[in-house]
Formats: sequence, structure tokens, C-alpha cells
Amino acid sequence: MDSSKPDGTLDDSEIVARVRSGEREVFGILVERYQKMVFALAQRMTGSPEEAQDVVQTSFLNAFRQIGNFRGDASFKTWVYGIALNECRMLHRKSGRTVAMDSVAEPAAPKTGGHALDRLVLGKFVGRLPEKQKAALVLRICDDLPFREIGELIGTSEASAKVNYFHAVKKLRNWVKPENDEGGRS
Amino acid sequence: MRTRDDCRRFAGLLDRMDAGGHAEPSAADLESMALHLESCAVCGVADDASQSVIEGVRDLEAELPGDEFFSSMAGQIMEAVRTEPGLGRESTVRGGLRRGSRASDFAHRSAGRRTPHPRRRRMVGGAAALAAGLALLVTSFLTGGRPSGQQREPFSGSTEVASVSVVDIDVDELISSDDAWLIASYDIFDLGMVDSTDQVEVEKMSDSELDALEGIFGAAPSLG
Repeated sequence: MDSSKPDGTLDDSEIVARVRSGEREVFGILVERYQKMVFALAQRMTGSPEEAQDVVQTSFLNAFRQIGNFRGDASFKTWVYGIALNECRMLHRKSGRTVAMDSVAEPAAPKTGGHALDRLVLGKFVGRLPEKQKAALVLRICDDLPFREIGELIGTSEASAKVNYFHAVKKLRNWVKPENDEGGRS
Repeated sequence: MRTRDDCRRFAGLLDRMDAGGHAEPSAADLESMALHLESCAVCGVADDASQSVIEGVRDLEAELPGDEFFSSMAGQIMEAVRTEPGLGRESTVRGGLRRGSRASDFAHRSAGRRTPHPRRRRMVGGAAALAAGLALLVTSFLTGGRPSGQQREPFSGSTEVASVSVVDIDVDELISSDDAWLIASYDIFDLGMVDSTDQVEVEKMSDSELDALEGIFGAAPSLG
């Protein structure tokens, strides 16, 4: 259980217990504590601040509704991340933009050449990764989560999380490779 | 010990992951792939190009909005939490999560306005469109054609009100719903409304007129 105490008073497990016993207002501490992280994750996953806002609001409300099901095996942060990732998936499925585990057309290599990674281009490439690969990449690099936890979040094994992460990095490496350096797909 | 065959097999499994469909390698294959990644310096991700990708992704930090944004969002979330019926009482689950909890709901809740349930709102909108369509059909039939600018509609000012009602409809949800036929022509001009220049502006209508219209067309954002 995550017991960080930025406000110096309650840790997550205490808050969850109090919310369960009917103190709704203390749920606000969890919202304050994790909304930025969830927003950042959702924005990376959806590529849109508006959709990220939608995801954050829905995720926290659903976390409140389902808090009785929170067993405390994972941290509250991990649990709400899982809800947010599920919400991202639902959002994309609804809008017909789901990129599942199947293939993604290889995007055109950046025309700028050189080795510097263009943030905009890289961001677009990340957005084109299949869901599991993107989630594994973001959770590993940006949230520094262990593969075991990433596997739990994306509904796969630790090994699969690792492979998905690797696959994502490898794809990006090939996609951002300048044309003159391209040595074929690996 | 790593062999060239291991690398080839590993690459083959990766290709299979990209080959289409949802065929993820088996658990045993994934285990062996993960092990191969740890032991193989060729297939591993430790090369410079991969490192620069990883650094690049790390630098892709989401540009977060300011504190005001988060403070407002937390307020909206808590407002929704306060109005929740009670823990464990909402049981309509969609993929683990309940329907009808999108950000659009938060906007209504936080505005403190009467918010029709999404389904009810949809039905109100659909009924309004249907009522407008039927009224115009009757009018058109009686006047022998499309109403002209000189002919007053039975519900003058309806363009404004109807348009407000239409805006209130979740079109995506309607299209995917089984009663979407209700708004097969939700565009007010398709419904044959009179020239908008002939309409009474909503702002100039009295409270009782607005209440009466709201009774017909449902609450609208601009009407509070």
C-alpha cells in the first residue's frame, strides 16, 4: 500500500478505510494526491488534454463507486491507474480509434533526418503504438513501474509486459531512424 | 547460451505479434522472450538508438495544466462524489465501470442545474424533434407546402428552442441507440422550420413562455 503522506496526515489505506465508512470528503485527499499523475498518464495514452480530463474525472468517480472492491493488494495509485487505463481503452473503442495488439502500419520516417528526436514526431509515433505496447512504454519510462505491476495493469504477465515494452522501444527506434541510417526492420 | 537461432526465434515471435489478429505468443514463449531480452546483448534494448528513444519518450512529458485547472477538476469530482447515491448501490457496470459518468455529466452537476438523465435527455430531445417534425408536417399539409416567412408557426421561436434542444442531445449515443430513428432528421432545417429571422428571440421571451417551452422541449443549457 502506498503510504506517501504529502499532507503529513493520512496515508492512502487510512483514507480508503474512512471513505468506506462513509466519510466522503476525505476522498478529496486521494483526488488531490493523484489527479495530476492520472491526468499525465491519460494524456500520454490519449494524446488529448480534453480526453485526459474526461478520463480523470470518470476514473476517480468510478474509483469512489468501486472503493468497496479495493482490496489493497496493490497501491491505490496502481488501482486508479488501472481504472484510468481501462477508461482510456473504452474511450478509444467508443471512438473507433482502438489500436489493439495487431499490426500498425509503419509510419513514414521523419523527413528532417539527423539523429535528434523531434518531440512532435516521437509523440505521434508513440500515439500509433498498439495499446498494450504504449501502456507498457509509458508506465515503464514515465512512471518507472516494475514490469510485474505493469503486467497487472495491462492484464498480462510480467514477461508479456517486458516484451511489449521492448517491442515498443524497438518499433520507435526503427520509426525514428533517419532514412539514411535505415537498415531494414528487425 | 545465446545462439543465432535464439535471436531468429525471438525476432519471429515479435513479428508474429505484429502479424495481425490478437495472437499474442503463448505464456511459455513470452517467458522465453523475456529471458532472451535479458541475456542477449544484440536483441536487448541497451543500444544507443534505443536509449535515445527512451530519453525522448521521457522528455515527452505531458504538459500539465496549471494548479487552477486541477483545483477546479478536483472540485467537480468531489461534487459528483457528494451526489453519488451511496457506495455499492450503483450496479450497472460497463467493462467494470458504470455508464453515464462521463465528463459531460460533471459539467451539468457542477453547474448545479437540473440535469436530465442521459437516457431521459435523449428521449426528451428525440421527442422534441419528433413533435417539431409532426407539427411541421401538419402545417405543411394544411398550407400546401413548406411554410413561408409570412406564415406564423404554431410555436414561433421554435428555431431557437429546438436548436437548444438538439444541442442537448448526445448525437453519438443516439446514433448508436436503437431509437435513433427518432432523430433521423434532427437538423432543424430538415424539419422545415420557418426562416430564423422571423423568430422571437429566446432572450426576449417571458419566464412563463420559457417554462412552457421547456415543458415541451426539455431543459436547455442557455435557459438554465
